[in-house]
Amino acid sequence: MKYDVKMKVNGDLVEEQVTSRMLLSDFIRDVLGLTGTHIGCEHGVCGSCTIKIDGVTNRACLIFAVQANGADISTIEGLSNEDGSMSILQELFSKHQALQCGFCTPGILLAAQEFIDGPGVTVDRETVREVISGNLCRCTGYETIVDAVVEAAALKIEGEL
Amino acid sequence: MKPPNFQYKRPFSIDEALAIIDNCKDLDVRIIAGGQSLIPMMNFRVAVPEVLVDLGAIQGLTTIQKDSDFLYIGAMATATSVMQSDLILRNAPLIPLAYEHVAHPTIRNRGTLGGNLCHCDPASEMPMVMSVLQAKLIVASTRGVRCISAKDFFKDLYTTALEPDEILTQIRVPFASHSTRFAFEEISLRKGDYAIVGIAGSIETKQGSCKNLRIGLCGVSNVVACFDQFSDLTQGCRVENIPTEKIIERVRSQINFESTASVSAAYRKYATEGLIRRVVDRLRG
Ligand SMILES: Cc1cc2nc3c(=O)[nH]c(=O)nc-3n(C[C@H](O)[C@H](O)[C@H](O)COP(=O)(O)OP(=O)(O)OC[C@H]3O[C@@H](n4cnc5c(N)ncnc54)[C@H](O)[C@@H]3O)c2cc1C
Ligand code: FES
Ligand code: FES
Repeated sequence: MKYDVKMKVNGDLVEEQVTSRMLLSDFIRDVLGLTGTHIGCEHGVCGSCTIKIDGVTNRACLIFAVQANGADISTIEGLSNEDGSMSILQELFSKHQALQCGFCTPGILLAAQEFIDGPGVTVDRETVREVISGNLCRCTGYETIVDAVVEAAALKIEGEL
Repeated sequence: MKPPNFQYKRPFSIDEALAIIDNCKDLDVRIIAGGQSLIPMMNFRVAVPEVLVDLGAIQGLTTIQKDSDFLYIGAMATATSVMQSDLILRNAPLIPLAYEHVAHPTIRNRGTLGGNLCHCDPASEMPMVMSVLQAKLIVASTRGVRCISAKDFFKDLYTTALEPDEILTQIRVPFASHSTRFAFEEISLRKGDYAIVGIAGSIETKQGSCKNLRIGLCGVSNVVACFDQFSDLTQGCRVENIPTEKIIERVRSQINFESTASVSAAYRKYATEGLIRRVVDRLRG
């Protein structure tokens, strides 16, 4: 049996039919072709599939597409500026070399952006480490990621972001 | 891996959900709340439900309210909303203190308190915290509504007192008096992972003396553990003089420490002693 789903993805209305077993991560990648959402573990541990649903981050591998009927979704493809240029956080990742292979990067960017836009934003490195504790990176050793997020947090606090 | 197909149901009321469960008596029906424990199990095909009943569209299951005696937390309230609730911070501060150690922000955005309790993982913080707080759990079925105390709800590894046709709808937490002190300590591999050992303590202090010491432990054995038989040790005692070593000895002697692939029983026992000492130190103030 197939189920009708209708949702907004990065501002565009999407209408499709899905089987119940289809994970939202597979729907986003295979049906919508938005391959910036990565799949690492499919059990919630690595964070590479992180997306936003109705304004908050979620694991796309831990929700079925059918459950997202009516939702407002944004993926990494929606993080850049309107004109397609990189957001300030993305620029800072580049500046600090906060990625090597880039597999973890979409998930970490979304988790970090949520923290920067949230009420608890701070430049405290321990807090930033906790913010990204749910995202595994096999390349960087995290230090440069923390550097980039801390600089973005500082800009946010100074009102420049 | 991916799960096989299932029938997906999205009721708009508790009554509708209960009717679906009743109508599917011969099938393997599962409730899905946040799915943060169930979907990993389905992806591994450890759980293979034939019907999923999603509680996500039912109005009123996420509210957090209070009256003069209790906090009322809807079963579908997310971990994030519980952690950020002023009502809960003011009246049951142990809950947000312990939630800091539950998973990661993104998981907490979707995982619910009710799902966390029904999952009943002995390494999980909330079942133990609800036992320490002496919470009551309200469950509904087409047969009626039951109120189950936390100590009777958590039965065994992944096993609660819920019957297959019952839904947890609400968690009632008694108010903490202003003179109650709480502490929470945990060791895990990384912050947000399941506890190797997690310990919560609460104690009521009145005019310098103390009563009702309770110590809960998660991660140490197969069951949710909460101990409250300390009155002979704390009777008439000023809170700053409670006998730490005797308390540690009493708890330690009642636990059957488990070995797991990465952590030996001996280490768990050692860590438990250290963490109880820290918790009791915090309670002393
Ligand atoms: C990477 C990762 C790390 C985690 N770390 C921790 C941790 O450190 N500590 C911790 O405690 N948890 C941890 N979790 C689990 C997390 O807290 C889950 O959110 C929680 O255990 C389940 O809540 P849920 O709402 O997602 O429930 P679901 O996954 O939807 O359901 C869990 C179970 O409860 C049943 N159920 C759910 N709601 C009801 C209801 N209202 N009535 C009857 N039955 C119901 C379901 O049928 C299912 O069997 C982690 C999860 C992940 C993915
Ligand atoms: S793929 Fe979703 S958390 Fe790893
Ligand atoms: S940059 Fe390679 S996994 Fe993070």
